[in-house]
Amino acid sequence: MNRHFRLIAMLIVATVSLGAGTVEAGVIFPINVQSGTPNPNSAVTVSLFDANGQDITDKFLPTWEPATGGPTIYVSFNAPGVVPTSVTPTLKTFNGTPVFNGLVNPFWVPPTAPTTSAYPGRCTNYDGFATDFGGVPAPNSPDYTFPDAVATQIPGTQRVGFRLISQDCGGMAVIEVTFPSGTPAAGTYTFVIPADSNHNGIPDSWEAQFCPPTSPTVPSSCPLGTEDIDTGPLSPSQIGDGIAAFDEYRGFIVSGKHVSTDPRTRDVFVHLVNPQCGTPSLLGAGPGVLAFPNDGTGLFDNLASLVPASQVHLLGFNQGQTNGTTNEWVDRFQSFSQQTGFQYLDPITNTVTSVAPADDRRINKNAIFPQGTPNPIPANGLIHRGLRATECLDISATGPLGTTGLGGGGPDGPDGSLVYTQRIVNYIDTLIANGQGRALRVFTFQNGNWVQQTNPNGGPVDANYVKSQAMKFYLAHELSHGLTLTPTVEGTKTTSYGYHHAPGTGSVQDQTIVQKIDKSASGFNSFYIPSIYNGADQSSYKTE
Amino acid sequence: MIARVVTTVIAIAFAVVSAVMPAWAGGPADNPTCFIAKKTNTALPGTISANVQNALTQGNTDVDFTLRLSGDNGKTFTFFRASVNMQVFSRSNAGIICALLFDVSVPPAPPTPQAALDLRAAILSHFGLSPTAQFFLTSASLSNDEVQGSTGQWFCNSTLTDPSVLAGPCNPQRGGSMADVILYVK
Repeated sequence: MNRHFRLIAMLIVATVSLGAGTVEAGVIFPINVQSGTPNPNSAVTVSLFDANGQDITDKFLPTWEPATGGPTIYVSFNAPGVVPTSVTPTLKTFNGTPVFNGLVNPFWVPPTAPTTSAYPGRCTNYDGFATDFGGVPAPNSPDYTFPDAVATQIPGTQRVGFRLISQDCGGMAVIEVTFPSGTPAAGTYTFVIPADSNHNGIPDSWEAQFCPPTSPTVPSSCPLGTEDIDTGPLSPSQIGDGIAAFDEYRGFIVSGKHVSTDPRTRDVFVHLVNPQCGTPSLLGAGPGVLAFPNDGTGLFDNLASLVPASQVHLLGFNQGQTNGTTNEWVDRFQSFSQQTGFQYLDPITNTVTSVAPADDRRINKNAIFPQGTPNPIPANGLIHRGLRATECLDISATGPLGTTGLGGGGPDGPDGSLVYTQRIVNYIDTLIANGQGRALRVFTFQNGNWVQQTNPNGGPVDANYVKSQAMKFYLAHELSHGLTLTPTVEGTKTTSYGYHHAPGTGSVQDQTIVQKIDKSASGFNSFYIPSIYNGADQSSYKTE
Repeated sequence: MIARVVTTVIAIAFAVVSAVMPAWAGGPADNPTCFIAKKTNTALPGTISANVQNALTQGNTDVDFTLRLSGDNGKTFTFFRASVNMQVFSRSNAGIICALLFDVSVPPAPPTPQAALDLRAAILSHFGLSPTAQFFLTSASLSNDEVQGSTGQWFCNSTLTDPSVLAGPCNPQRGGSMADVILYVK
């Protein structure tokens, strides 16, 4: 009996604690529509709940996914003494056609009252397509739907609320509600959801995490949303990555998933085209077809030692599969062959051309604060690009094994990287044959030393393992040329390594991998294949 | 009369002696296939020029070669010409010459360009060399290159070239360059 009593007592304590937690959850205050300032003394506030009844007021961030659309949340009014079902809130929408001038967010320019955003497309890089959930949004359509005229019960709670459905990767909802006279909360209230105290379009909760105070008196490092102040990973580094803080918050569709990028760290967008110049791809051709790397590692792992993996965004990438064009950037690519070079589709003349159209590889088509290179159509905003790596299976020559096109300025230059995968395979086969049966070893440079590697999936260090490491080396090597590595010619006039480090330094930007064959027939055939970049590389690469 | 290079005659058969072999990732020395460590007995000094229709394409382009070679140590010279569709982008001067004079395709690769084969045969025939002989370069074979970029290559591209010159001599698609060369034959 005592035991039963203790159990009930524990449950009561737990319930009170849970209730206390719920009470302590934040609320959204109405704003003064002229100043945009929230009124913390208002009798009426808003709480947000997800479809499971969890209070998400403090953490709700709008998003949208191609496969599932945006989440449905519930807007619930906290109004003492008022029957919540007696009001009908409305979604305040923009009257007219918004102008995106790259300077201000047209949906909230105090003292003009804010309106629900209607940002272009779905996300910074993505329009939305017919096959997506919800298809393509109509021009200037609000970034939310607010379908209920009458509040309904929020699942899992005793409260009622109005459904709010996100239609954009980072939209702002503006809801107006009027409580009738004679009630304790009489009056008209305007709420911005999610809460955005400094009306820069970035929710307070996200801004607190990703735009931290720069000093006790400067509460945000991106108060305008136009800031592009990314740095790193090492200091000194270029400042900025060509994407304004707001557009990083709004985010990108990356291989089918929404990703908000971090405005503190520089991001790189990469798309692989595999294969061209024949079939099957050696980088992924479907189940059962040998593809490199085949040791369980990722094709882009080496690049992630230059730009941290969380900041390398693989657009339209299907691991182990072929990849052509993608709708996750502006893609004008048509083909590459040794005979024709790169071919693109000109969007203006609708003809195939060998000159890349200005917006090819553009990742900021829908940016509110676009940065980058001039656009031939200025009204369409500055252009920031990602990197394209194209696999070519040509073997009409044995070399080069990779190239990167005319550059300058990081991804915003007209770069196009080629990786000749079959030449790489043939070359490694030749080097292995030169070893006349000696056992293979692979070394990578780690912590100042060449360290012998083992196959991470437990397999042997065989020809395919060597090719896997070489493939990752050449792919990252060429992509980082597109990030302006190395920025200067290295070596002397008589022994120039071009825009590379000398062979053997251990960086992926070394001009070579190195092979060493032991004299003894019982010795080894050793490959020294860098897999990381050095500190100078990490300081000097450019992202715009 | 074939110039005989007075050097110790050493067989250049591939020697497995702790050799460190570069595997070039593109760049100035894009794995030139016809490099040898030491000269052979037979040398053909002269000049080679290469002119391209499109130095900027990363694919192939038509390249017009003119070789002016001497088989008598510089007393007399003979011209040889060939037009070959090939890749020059990101290739060193040596890499381009190796592709022209040395590389032989192995199926399933496309056949070696007939113009290149004809050129090789013409040179060998003219100087009375064995029709099965091959051409090689040493690291000192090329000199007095007409360098357009900053790293010793004939043709401009940003993998190799100082970006500051991209708006200058590297900008036109058509381009050409020359160098002195000593071809070694064996």
